[in-house]
Amino acid sequence: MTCSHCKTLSRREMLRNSAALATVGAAHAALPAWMPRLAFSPKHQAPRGDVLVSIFLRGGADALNMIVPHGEDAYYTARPQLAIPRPDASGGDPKTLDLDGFFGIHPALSPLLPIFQGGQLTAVHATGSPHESRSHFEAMSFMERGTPGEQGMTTGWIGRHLGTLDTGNGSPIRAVGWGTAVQAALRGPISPVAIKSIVDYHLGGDEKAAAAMLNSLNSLYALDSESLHASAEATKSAIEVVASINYASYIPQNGTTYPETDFAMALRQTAALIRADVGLEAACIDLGGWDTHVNQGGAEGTQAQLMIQLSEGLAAFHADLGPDMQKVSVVVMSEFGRRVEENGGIGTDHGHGGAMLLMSGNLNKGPVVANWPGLAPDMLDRGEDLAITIDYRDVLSELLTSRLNNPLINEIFPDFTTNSLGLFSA
Amino acid sequence: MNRRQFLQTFGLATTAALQTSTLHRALASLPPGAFAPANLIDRDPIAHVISRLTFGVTPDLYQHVQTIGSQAFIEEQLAFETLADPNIATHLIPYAEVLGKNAGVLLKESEGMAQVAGQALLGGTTVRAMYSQRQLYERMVHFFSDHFSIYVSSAPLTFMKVDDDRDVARAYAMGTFRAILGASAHSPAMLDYLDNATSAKDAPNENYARELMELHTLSVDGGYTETDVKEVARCFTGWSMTRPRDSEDGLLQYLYRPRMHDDGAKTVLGTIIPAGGGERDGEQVLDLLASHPSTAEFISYKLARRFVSDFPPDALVQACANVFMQTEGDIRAVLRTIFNSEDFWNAPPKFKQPYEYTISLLRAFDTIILDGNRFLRNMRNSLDGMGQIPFHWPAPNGFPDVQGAWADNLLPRWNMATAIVGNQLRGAQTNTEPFLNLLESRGVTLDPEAVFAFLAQYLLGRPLTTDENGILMDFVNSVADTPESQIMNGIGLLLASPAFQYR
Repeated sequence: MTCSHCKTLSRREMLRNSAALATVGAAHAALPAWMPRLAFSPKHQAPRGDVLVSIFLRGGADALNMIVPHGEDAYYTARPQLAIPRPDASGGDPKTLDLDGFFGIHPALSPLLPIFQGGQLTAVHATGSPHESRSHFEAMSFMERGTPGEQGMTTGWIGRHLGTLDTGNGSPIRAVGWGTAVQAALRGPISPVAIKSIVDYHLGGDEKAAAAMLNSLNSLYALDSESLHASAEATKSAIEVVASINYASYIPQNGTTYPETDFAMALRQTAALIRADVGLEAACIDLGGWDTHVNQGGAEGTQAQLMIQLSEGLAAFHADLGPDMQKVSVVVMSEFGRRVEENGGIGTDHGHGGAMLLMSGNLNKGPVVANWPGLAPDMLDRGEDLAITIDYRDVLSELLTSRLNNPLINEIFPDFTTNSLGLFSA
Repeated sequence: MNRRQFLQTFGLATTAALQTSTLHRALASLPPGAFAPANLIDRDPIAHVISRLTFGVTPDLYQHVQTIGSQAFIEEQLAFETLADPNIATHLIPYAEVLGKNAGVLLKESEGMAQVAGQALLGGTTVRAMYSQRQLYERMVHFFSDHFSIYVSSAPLTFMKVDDDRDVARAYAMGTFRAILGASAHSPAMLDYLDNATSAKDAPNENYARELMELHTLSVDGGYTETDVKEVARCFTGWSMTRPRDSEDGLLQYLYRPRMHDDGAKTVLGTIIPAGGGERDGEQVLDLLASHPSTAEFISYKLARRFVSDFPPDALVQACANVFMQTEGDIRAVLRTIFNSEDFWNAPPKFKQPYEYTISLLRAFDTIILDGNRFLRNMRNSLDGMGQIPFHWPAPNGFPDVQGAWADNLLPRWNMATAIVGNQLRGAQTNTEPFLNLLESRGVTLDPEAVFAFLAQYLLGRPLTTDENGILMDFVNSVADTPESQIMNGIGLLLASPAFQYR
């Protein structure tokens, strides 16, 4: 190609223009047809159920100091420095807040006490993924993929749930992974997007040029054979959706103020998307820092600070949603619990059984559901860790069938036979 | 010479004898679209070797490798000690003093020192990635910073990481694996991060022992048991550090504390470690682990993943593991095996991690830093949005090195590309002069289509397809009406394009 005036363009002009990202006109390149990456068939057809909010406590949260078995002497024997004092302990120090006479909650979880008492929060104890791994990364991977012990699966349990359920919802943001990467549980045939901050989620520069660039980028990504196309398309659509909801003017309801943490911001953004009714069906949030090998602290300290973040965030979300909790299910889990006995560094090492939290407007049982194995040495896993008596997939299967309208458990948790717990009202 | 001819002259033909089960496992774990050929056009070997060994092409580097050839370039990069790097000291001036200090000294200095040290770590790493001639060495430092990942969440760990960066990753990135493993085991930053510094015989802490085997050496399926974790933890009891306030010189460094050590007999991976070994117990464990076949395989796998593909061929990993075992863990020998393999030259596209992508943008058009502090604040924000501030991965396994972990967060990348072209990088400026010199030397006129054709060779190592060219020209015609503006917009689109997301 030749261009008559190009040859005369001086280097000086060229250098000067390196600062200009131009702004003239908006192009409307034809959009590529959106191609799903995989097709499941046949999908289950059902109306949308609850919005699922899945919270993962990364690092192996010490469930025994969160949902405290204060009725168990062995707990106090194993943890002379770390145990949370019984509810009736003497003195003015912070102590366990009783739930049912045997279990109680850590004092840092006190913002959750009224929600437990109101029947919208249930703890499931001595639960987890049955695979023996004490490795964070292996345990997280199995748990999020929903296939303990099986390496092959590349999709996550929530990804497969959304992939097998046709709710007639064509929203580009059926699934959001809050943060800078999509959680393994969300990966699958639908295209989730990772969003850290809604207000920053737009292409910079001049509006028209940005729109033209977005269209051209999508055309280029449509040519890509390395599977980035779906991600690019999802990004473009998500930009349009979040631009439409005017997040900056979102006012939490019922006088709620969210704490200034990344975790609470993710919950606030989730609430805003739910309120805007833009088709959100699942959101994943991470809260890290639970690998408390040293200086875990008891009623106060490192883990207590994390529990404050967790409980204040959840309580704000619950208050903000108010009656809308009827159409939301929150599940909190961690890759494993920690060793019953404390170590020499006033911390705990990797263990096995842990706890899950369920927050929902449609719970049937509570405040604690457990087939409690006890902490006597002969009842412990490997002689040192809390045993698992409820498979975490039993909890999630009930959530899927009762609240998310998806009965295809075999596709979500292959080769798994569920046991009914009666956790939810349908 | 095209790539095919190059491969013939290279004289390597391997037929990978994959075991069926391995193949099935590999296929089962492939993400959709992986291994699909990126294009049917042979890639320029010069562009290939630059993109794989370095943080990204620059106009000077492009000229240089074309002059000396790709094989000579590989040898030059492997022999990094003899590679002149005349300008790097100047770029490091703002950070060199802090980076040369001991953590104990930094601890005693002013209140705001944590921020200064954090800035020096990010700044030193970034200017080296941007400007050092020793690009492969810098990529290996990056690799080992991830392999022995330490999350620099706050002081005093930030100060200890200054020592760790200098005395572990930078000291041994191209040495033997046993040397870097030993340096890491003695590093106060690692001893603190994985809690070994306080591990004592009464109730040993298992954190370091577990990650030492799972993440640093054998890998999770490498053949150790939960009992081995406990025994290794016993071996390392007493591996601790000085308290700067108590020591005469005020330094914070490794210290063996015999009274904390469990001196009973232990059994690790079936080997009996007799009672009374003291500090030698830990060294013996490191010897066992560094020379273990599972370690050879795991390190080889991770290196092949970094330099070849997300799912490296099993035969290549085995070849590397054999070299690792024969050379007692000579990292350079393993790298040479990778670069001499046909798998390397036929490697499928490798998705850049966000930090790698950012540096490749900064290098492509010779970004000049005008105000280091401002530039780094801006970089930190951008990298935070992408999820990859160096030394800030919140777990000991290091930043993920596969596409699946990063591909759903494209928007911050696109914004970084437009910021580079729009010259909106705060504290820095794009310098198009060297690129224009390159164009001139190749006789490329400043006509948009001609420039884009050259850019594709320069950035991607291949011509644009007809479709790509059409999209690019439609875009620039719609947003700009002068050739120079069209060129700049086109560069922005190319930098944000899928092809430039890959090495």
